[in-house]
Amino acid sequence: MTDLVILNEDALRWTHPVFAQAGAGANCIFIWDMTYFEAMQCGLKRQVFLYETLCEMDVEIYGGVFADVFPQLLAQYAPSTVFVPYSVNPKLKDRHALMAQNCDTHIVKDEVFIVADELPDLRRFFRYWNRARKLAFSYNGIGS
Amino acid sequence: MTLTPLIKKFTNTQELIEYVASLAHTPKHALTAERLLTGGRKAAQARLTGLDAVAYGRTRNHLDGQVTRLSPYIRHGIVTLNEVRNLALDSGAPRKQIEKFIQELGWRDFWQQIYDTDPDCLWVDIEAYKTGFQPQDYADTLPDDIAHGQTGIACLDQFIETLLGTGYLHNHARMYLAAYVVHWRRVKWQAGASWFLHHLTDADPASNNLSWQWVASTFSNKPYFFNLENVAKFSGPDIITEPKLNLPLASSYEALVEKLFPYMDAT
Repeated sequence: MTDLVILNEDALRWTHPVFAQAGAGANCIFIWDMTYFEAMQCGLKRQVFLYETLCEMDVEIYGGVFADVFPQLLAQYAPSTVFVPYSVNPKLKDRHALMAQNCDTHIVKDEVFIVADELPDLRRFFRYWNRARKLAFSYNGIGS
Repeated sequence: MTLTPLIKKFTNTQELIEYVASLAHTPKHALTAERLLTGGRKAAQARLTGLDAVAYGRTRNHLDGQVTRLSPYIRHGIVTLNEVRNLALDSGAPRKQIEKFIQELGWRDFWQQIYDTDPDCLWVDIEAYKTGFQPQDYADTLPDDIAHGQTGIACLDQFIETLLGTGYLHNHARMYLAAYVVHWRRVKWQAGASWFLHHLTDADPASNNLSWQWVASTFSNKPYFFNLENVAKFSGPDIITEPKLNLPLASSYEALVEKLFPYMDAT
């Protein structure tokens, strides 16, 4: 049994930490779900951009509604663990919850812009920026 | 039953476009490969190689300025804000000269953090309009003439044609269109945000919707608006800015405040 990486539209690159966690040999899948695209109001131009990106990657693309296709992929690949990139998108978070109900699922966060001890004040940009500015000008967003 | 993966090999981009259109059940479309931003890490890498954060800071507000067009790649995680920022720092340019560029990355991080902590705020008015109008004073749907780039306002119709044909629009042009939709036509920002989401290749619900709210004044202290003089100042020679072809925009700011926001002081 090998691991499975289920990619999403927010994490389309090989240097995403999800691949390091999954390890070499993991199968990588993207589910081309038109229901999701419609819900996200994702038009044809963006779909073409996404598909073109996926064609450049070593990833298998399967068409269908995520909730229908995922169980079939579990049966087909029989992975020991499924790794998924974290997303802020609630629709993708719902998917992650669905996956976790059916298999051992690890959600892997991406690298961040700033490494802050606490959540910045998000009421206005300038409030955020006053806290973030110093970190934003540091490599990897880590303050000195 | 074993699932069969979708096709990934195409002889050219137009063939890929036709295939994706067939998956979307939209066989009739006017997309041509030449007009679209190219997907993939290689294309992103080419843009990163040409990154000039100093020139960006100097010219970013001009429609023909040296913007990076990295937004669709950042949007889909093909490159990260961290990677782009580190590259800008690598240039060794003085901090002041790259500040605007780094700050622009900060805007994207700001929108994402809001999305992560309060996703429900994306489609509702975060605050009241500061325009003197109530939400019910705004139309729910986008008028057809805007959707099809037939407003009769030359520069705006050019921007809409670019949006529909390429899936990309300079940020300043996005703000012009958003302001026109919300303040000139008094349409709810949600209708405009939905329109942009459908057409922009870099469409991100947080960056897009919260920017519309910023223009509308439901996530800012005042409405954003502009006049033709401003468009002329920041446009290149390709944009039509003759007053007679852009009459609704050809006014002073004082006159536009009276016309667009007659009750603003009363709120």
